[in-house]
Amino acid sequence: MIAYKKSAVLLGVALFVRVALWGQTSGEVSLPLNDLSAFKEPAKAWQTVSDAMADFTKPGAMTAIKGTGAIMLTGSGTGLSSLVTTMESSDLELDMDFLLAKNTQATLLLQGRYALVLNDSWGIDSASLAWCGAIGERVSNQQAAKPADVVPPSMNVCRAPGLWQHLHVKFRAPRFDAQGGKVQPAMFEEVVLNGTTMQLQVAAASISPDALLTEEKSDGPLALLASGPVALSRITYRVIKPLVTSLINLSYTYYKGDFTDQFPDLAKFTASPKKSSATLTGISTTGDGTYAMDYVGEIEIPAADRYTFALLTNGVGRLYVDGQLVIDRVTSRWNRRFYTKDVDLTKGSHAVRLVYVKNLGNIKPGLALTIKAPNSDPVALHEKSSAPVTEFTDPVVIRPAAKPYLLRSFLDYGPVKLTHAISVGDPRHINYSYDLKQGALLQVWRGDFLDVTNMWVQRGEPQTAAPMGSLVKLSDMPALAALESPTAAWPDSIAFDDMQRDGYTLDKDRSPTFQYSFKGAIVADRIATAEDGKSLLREITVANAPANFYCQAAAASKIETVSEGLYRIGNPSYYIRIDKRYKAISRQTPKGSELLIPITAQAGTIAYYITW
Amino acid sequence: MKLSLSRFSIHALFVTAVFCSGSVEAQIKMDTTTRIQKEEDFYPIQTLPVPEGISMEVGGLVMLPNDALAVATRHGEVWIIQNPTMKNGQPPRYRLFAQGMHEILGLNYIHGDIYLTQRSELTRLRDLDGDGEADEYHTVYSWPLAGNYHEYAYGPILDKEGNMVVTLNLGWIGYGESLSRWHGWMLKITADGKMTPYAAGFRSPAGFALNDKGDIFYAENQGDWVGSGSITQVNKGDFLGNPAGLIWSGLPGSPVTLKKEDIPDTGEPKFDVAKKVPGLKTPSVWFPHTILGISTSGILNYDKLGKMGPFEGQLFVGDQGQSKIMRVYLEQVQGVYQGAVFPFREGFASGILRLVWAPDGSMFAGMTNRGWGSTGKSPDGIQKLDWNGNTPFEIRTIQARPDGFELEFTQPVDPASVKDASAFGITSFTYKYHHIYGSPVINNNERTIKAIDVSADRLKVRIVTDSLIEGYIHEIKAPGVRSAERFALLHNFAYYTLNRIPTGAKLAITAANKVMPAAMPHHNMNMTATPSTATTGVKRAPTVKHLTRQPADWKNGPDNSFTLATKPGLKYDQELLTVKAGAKVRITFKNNDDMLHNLVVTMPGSSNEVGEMALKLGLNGQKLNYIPATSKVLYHTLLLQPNQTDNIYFVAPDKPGDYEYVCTYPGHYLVMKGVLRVK
Repeated sequence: MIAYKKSAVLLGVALFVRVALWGQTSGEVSLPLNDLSAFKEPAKAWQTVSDAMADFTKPGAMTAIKGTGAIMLTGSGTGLSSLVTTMESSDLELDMDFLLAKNTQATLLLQGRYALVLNDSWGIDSASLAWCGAIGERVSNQQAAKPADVVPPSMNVCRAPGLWQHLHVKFRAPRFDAQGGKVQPAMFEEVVLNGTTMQLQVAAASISPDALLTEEKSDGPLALLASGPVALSRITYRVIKPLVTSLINLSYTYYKGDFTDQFPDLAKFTASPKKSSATLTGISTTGDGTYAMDYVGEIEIPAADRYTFALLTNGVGRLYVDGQLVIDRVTSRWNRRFYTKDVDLTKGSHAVRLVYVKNLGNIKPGLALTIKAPNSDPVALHEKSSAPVTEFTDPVVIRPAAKPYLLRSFLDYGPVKLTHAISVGDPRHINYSYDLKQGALLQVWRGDFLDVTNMWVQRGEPQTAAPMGSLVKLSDMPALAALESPTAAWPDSIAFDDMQRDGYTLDKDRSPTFQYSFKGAIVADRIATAEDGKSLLREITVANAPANFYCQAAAASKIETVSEGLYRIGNPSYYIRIDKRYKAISRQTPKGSELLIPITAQAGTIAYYITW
Repeated sequence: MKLSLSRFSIHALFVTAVFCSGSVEAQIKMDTTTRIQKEEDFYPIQTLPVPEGISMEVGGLVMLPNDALAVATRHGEVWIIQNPTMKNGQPPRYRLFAQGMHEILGLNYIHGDIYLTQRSELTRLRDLDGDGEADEYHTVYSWPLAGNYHEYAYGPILDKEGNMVVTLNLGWIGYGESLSRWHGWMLKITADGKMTPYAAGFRSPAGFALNDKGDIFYAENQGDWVGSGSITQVNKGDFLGNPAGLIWSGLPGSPVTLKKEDIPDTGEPKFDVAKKVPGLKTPSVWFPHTILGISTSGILNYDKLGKMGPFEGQLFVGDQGQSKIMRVYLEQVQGVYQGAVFPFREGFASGILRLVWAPDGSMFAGMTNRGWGSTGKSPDGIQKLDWNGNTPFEIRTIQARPDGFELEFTQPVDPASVKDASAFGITSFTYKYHHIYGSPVINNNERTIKAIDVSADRLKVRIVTDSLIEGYIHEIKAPGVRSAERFALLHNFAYYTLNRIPTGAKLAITAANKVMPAAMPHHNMNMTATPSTATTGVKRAPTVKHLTRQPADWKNGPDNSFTLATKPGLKYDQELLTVKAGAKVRITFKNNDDMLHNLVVTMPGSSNEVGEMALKLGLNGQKLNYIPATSKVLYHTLLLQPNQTDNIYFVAPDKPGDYEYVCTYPGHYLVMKGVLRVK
């Protein structure tokens, strides 16, 4: 621990110069990656690249692709390097793509102090503090100084080495009183890795052992410690600044009457004399039952920008800004979400009118209105006691135990609700969904299996199962087709009556072989977890294959050849590996690229691996 | 069959017969006692223990040849339960055979294989390697789906030709709709996956079975185009009544030629419409809604496998909403099935969906309330119904006669108890056939009993009425009948659906069998189903308890306005309303559910009592909006169809307290309630 830490500290002792943040009011800022100017004295091992590739079988191996737009740390993979931004901030919302070599251990330090693990934890199934997305650190296999400060992520959704991954972090800096005493700890409010929430509202009680800065303060830079090759791209952030504003000159007119779900014509109701009000609240002191409160006031906007209003009401609500209707919330009483709307506002005072109609009788009055600048947290404009309370249903989750779990369900796939879907969850947290109507391998994901609350609780009206991990969408098109010519488009679907679905059989380890026939071809589509839970192996055997028959192994905007038989597909991306004896064909299509494998009557079996 | 009197010394209640002044017969009855029987005295229910963590929402049940019980569940699992009868006091053992199918609602064992239906297909399961778990999930036949939750699929059963029979439920989009091919149909499928459409017009065909002759009977649930529950014998090409599925009648292979537009939506009785629309099939036996079930389900033929008392050859029909089992006696008159439905056993733990015979002749009931609520409060489970060998005093059969009915009893009757007309009551009625959900009871009329004749063995009683109405349901009550041993009937009413009036000899009316008008028409009955001829209907005029316009003197409108709807799980979406004593109140109740509801404000602590009284309204219930005539009811809405709204105005009571509001639709009152708190 000590030797390693010392080097980190030495590297990080440089003075940080505060620089003016560019675009302070416009929100999102991209860190320029055409050179290394955004970083403080970067080590020589960092270079700009256009892309990077890594071999997921070889520790420390990463290849640079020349150009700009991304940065990459090369090297032996044994030393430790730190990269520190010149930018410093307090509260921060960060988005970043990163790519790791096999076995790279990396730590992102928020404010140079609070560690978020970005290790290559691909395929490590037992819960671990070294999982990508852990808070705290355990670099170089050291135990954390205070185990309580180390929080493993909710699941391991780390992608394979050489694939770009996406990180989103919402970080809140510690707060100090006037004497410099800490009154609130630093918070990882949200850590989302590859679309899956890893951490939620986790307080960092103290700085991490490997912190570059050892004293807690309001500000600090972003820093990355890495013990092996890593590439970064598309680093954007918002510095969260408090938005200081409130409603002023507020007054309201109270209406008594008999209201419906629709927005009322207030002229038809009995109005009480206009009253001034210190705060915005849906709670009336005049009476209960049903009523309407028509608030008018002003809001002082500190700087021109695009602001987001959000309104939640128990009942009907309408928000007007500068006389324009901004949010029209006709009640749907079980819809407990905020309705939001972006509005461009100039600096200065703006007229605000909010009509709240408590049309639901003696249900608790509820009214919440917030405003948010692009780089601020939402600011409540309402009185706290007025905010509605959220209710949740107890979730039902399937966790495969000793063997894979197969579940048929309805499945939302983009805008489409699939009706003949089956999802397979391996206890090693490698999962996929398959459309029995198209023979399509729809999606794969790591992490937890399915949330079935919408199927099994009460009447289960959606009847949909929801994948819980980090999805990689593959294709909802048929896996197999006969193409009339080498340039013929791949068909979108097989008509229901053109396919005979025969079901599936299970291996000893419960890996399924899906069976169907169409166009005279008799198909067995076996999908199994392979390579110790790191890949899926798909083997398709076709008897009686018609002429010009193909398997579409991938269709994506982009297909890159990593090495012979190894393809990196799309972005967010995955690998397809096809043995050369199957003679895969890559072809361009109007939508991008496709990877096809010919299937002939003589050689009716093909196979490929999906690795992500 | 033996009658052990000693058993009843423990359980039976002895009540003094109603004192009837005036008649000589009443004087004779005065010093006798009537002995009361209870269902549990004959038919005990035992619950199967279920290991923790298994959701036993049963969709299918079948006995395997090795005496194990196979159970299919909503979660898509198939469990195999050894020793389900708990022989020798040993608990059953559970083994998971198959997993992960999409809501299994039917399970069978056919020619050595397990077959089942899930939402999208008929599936055959095989354990190829003999490790006790299915490893082949073979799709025998699959059908398209729209993704609607109400697109259920049921079966298979095996018909007498050896085909598998499945049915597909209509979807629900505020009304029943056939959103994808063959939904609302019964299909026949061969083992190698050849499908033939068989009949159309189904709404929610959750249960079907063969009778002893091999004819298919299916159970239907009240809903749109279905005035009340029923069982109906299905022939190829029949149209059963809900037109939604007729959009597929033009497809190749359809044996049905009717189109949607051929079906009139007039509200005339279905029997009358069927005379004008060839192919429209009417029920073999109607099950009056809320009296004998609200959601008929599994049908079990009492064949040689069963031991349930002296009812061999009859059908047992489960009910999901009311957690009970009914019994049906069928006969064929002029080639048409008809017959009587009787209560049999209530008090099951959850909603009954499936019934099968156990190896020992007892019956397994597979249950789930599936989010709709049921009288039995458990969400799911399996129970075993036994017959203890004692014979209850019951009406065993009812047959139609040219001039009335003949009732056969399980034990000899006391001739004195059946001599006057008040021993029996017969009322004829029917339902509307229309697109609206359910129907009130219509055209109900009491029939005059002219003669009563007891057979020499005293096991049969022939009742001659002034007239019979073909196509109508005849309510037959027998409150006065006593057995020779002075027992009242365990169930003293039944409903006979008279599709055909038999021809043949009428009973000669003699001085000996002729009955005089009853001096005292009301005996104690364990239900009150006296139909009323009052013309109060669903749209009856506003009363003080149901004021739908704001009173003119409410110058400033109501003090409190509440808009309530429902939320899943048989609940109002608001369960506490607070008002001041004497406040002017408006309640708007919007029924956004897929079943019928009302809202009834009751006196403090009396919602259960009002709910029970509503249940006892029997045939008149729907007509009366399930509002019993009692001072315990303060204010109420009408009984609302799905998507209907009612506004009521009232002045809150002066006395502070918690006034419960409740849905009195049968089966709902125990859970669907809230409090109007008067301060």
